[in-house]
Amino acid sequence: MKGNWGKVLLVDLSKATTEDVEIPEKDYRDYLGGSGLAAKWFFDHRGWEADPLSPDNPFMIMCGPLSGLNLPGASRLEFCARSPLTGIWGESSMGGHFAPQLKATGYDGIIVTGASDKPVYLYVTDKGTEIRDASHLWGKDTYETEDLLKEEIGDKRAQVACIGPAGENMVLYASVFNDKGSTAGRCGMGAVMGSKKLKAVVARGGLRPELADEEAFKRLREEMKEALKFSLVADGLKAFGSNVHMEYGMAIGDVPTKNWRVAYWQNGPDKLAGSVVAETRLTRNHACYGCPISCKRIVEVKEGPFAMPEGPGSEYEGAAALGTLLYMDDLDANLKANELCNRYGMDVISAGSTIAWSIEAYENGLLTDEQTGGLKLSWNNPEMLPEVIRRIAYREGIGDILAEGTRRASEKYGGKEFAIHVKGLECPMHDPRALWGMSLTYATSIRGACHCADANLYADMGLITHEELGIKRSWPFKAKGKAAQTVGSQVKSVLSNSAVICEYVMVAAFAGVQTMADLVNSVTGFGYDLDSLRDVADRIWYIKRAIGNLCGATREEDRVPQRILEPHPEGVTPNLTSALFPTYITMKPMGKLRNTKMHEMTANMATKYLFPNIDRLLRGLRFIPGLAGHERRLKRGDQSERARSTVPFQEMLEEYYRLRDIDEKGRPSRARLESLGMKEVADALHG
Amino acid sequence: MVTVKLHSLLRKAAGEGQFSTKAGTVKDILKEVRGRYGPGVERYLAQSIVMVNGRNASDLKGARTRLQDGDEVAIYPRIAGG
Repeated sequence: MKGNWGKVLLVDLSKATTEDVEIPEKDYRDYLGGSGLAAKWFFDHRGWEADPLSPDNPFMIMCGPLSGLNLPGASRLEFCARSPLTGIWGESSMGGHFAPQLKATGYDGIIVTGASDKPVYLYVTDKGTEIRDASHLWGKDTYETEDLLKEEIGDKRAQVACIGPAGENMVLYASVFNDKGSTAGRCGMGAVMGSKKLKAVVARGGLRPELADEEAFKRLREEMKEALKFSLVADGLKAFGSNVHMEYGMAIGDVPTKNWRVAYWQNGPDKLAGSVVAETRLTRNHACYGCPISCKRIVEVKEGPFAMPEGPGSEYEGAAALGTLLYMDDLDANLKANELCNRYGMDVISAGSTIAWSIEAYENGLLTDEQTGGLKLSWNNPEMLPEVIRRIAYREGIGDILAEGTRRASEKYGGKEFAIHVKGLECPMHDPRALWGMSLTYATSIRGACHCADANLYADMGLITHEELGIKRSWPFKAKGKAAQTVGSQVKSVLSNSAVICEYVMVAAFAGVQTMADLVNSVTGFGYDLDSLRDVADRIWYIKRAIGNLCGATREEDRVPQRILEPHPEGVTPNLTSALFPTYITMKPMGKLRNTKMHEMTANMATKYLFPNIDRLLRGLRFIPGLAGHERRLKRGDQSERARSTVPFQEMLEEYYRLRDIDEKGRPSRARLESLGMKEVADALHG
Repeated sequence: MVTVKLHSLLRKAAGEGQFSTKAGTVKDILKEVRGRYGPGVERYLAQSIVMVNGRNASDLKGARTRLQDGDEVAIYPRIAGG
């Protein structure tokens, strides 16, 4: 087989054995790799029958055909298992430098079953595998663990994927870390490792699979690098990291503030944005393997109560979840909180969201001083943050409640209306009221609220289209076409998470499904065309959806919290139709032209002629019934205006079900499954 | 005086994050930004969102939105990540 090794390493920690297991080529063709191939394994081995924290839950670390290749964005791999946080299919993608080393050991992935009695780590090389004692590492944070293991092995090029105290204590949203700042953040994959007493996996190899068409691969790689040179998205990510989003995001109402209550907060962009970090705290950029963008931030806080040594800084999700979401604008406290989450090894999104819930619960008297151990939970309280995070990691007092995530905490203590999660996974930092498509993204994402399950974030902002899939562009703040857009967006991200390649790079390089097909073909020689690769994406999506059903998920769980669909209770939800209008009319020339001169010329034309007149165009919109006087009517409590400003989620969801052929119980139909050659999945679901 | 805040890549291209001006409208401010920082800012300005005291200028009177002493104008270029 080209591009893949055709085998995985199967580890049974209960028996302390390892064996090589061959995977049939058909599975690679049908499910590609990464989380797709992991889902196929999980289904074949009836993974849904195991409790998430039991030894039987298979923990899968999977590369895809692109993983580890010297290609921008191909630094990634997937960590998959039944999630202890959500109880359904869990998957989490990691960048950094681990994938190239794992691929170079001669395995496409590692599947860990069973559980060890004492802490262990796996040492996987191209010459063999060892299960080694990790008692001396238990209790160490992720940064220390990585340093100690590299020292112990005596090879700086060995790569470590490890957990910290949060994973050991089975905080339900504990993460797995590599390269200190790169994480498989979501769904509690760190807790699954902790339940198996698996402290770390170390990989070191020197093998490279033979590619089907080396020349084509090199050409595609150069094209990709060239495209990145002319990409505004790449420029923005390089200059300010993913936290470049704080600024424009806030302007369009996309940055959740004060547990999703406040519409706009100037302090976010003024104090927490990537540009502010670059001017005040950034020491250098850092890149994942093979990436010319280098969006990761290395920062240092030299003095003060939140001093931190040089190390990874917040990405956008961390800046928002441990910043604006807590109505907190202290940059140093944010960086410190992010560093602590990294060191303890937990997901910043779930941690920030759960803390935001706890502040509101405390405000409403649902949590008492006794429960918080005297800790005063409040908004904009930087001093409280490090202590709350520490207690979560060690499950001390209030931390033990918060380590369970918002769903369980709110079921126990109340406050479900402000527990912002879908299927138990806390919502990431993008607001469906700004980008309507995100409501479908969150509701229909297999693993729960996730912004990487599909590319709707970029489609809604006008950065990408799905025209190559025959899907027309859906206008912002219109329900029409959002379901189809979501399906198209899912096709793209499912492929990214199976191939496996970075979504930022794909978006920044204007790469769509055809580019993905070309890339995968050059590596594997599978010869996909657009349609057959789309079938692969559908197959992967449906098998994961079916796994969700088999874990107990129904239509009932495809919901979005009402709070994040209705107008903000504080501040004015922007009149969004006009807010995004400029984006749409300038998108094409800025996005598609790769010639610098044309690029500049178009920008100049737009500046000279279009922008000065934009207000006339926008004011024209006011004659459209329903758009004028938006704010006045909202303030007056006008119910019809409120309804108009509420995301028409149900309408979009029904259309989505129709397109995906989902039955009344939330299962994919037998006919659809069989048309994709998935009879065994249909039988498991429909009997 | 009106405070004008420049964000993201616009801030980088301008070399500073904010300035004060006596400009009377949003249009004047955009003109002043071009005058102050030259062609380097054009490609970002073309697709920016302008907020006046936390409100989108296009929800107000667009480029003709009048500004008063103490107003705060923030300009955000359309650069997103996430």
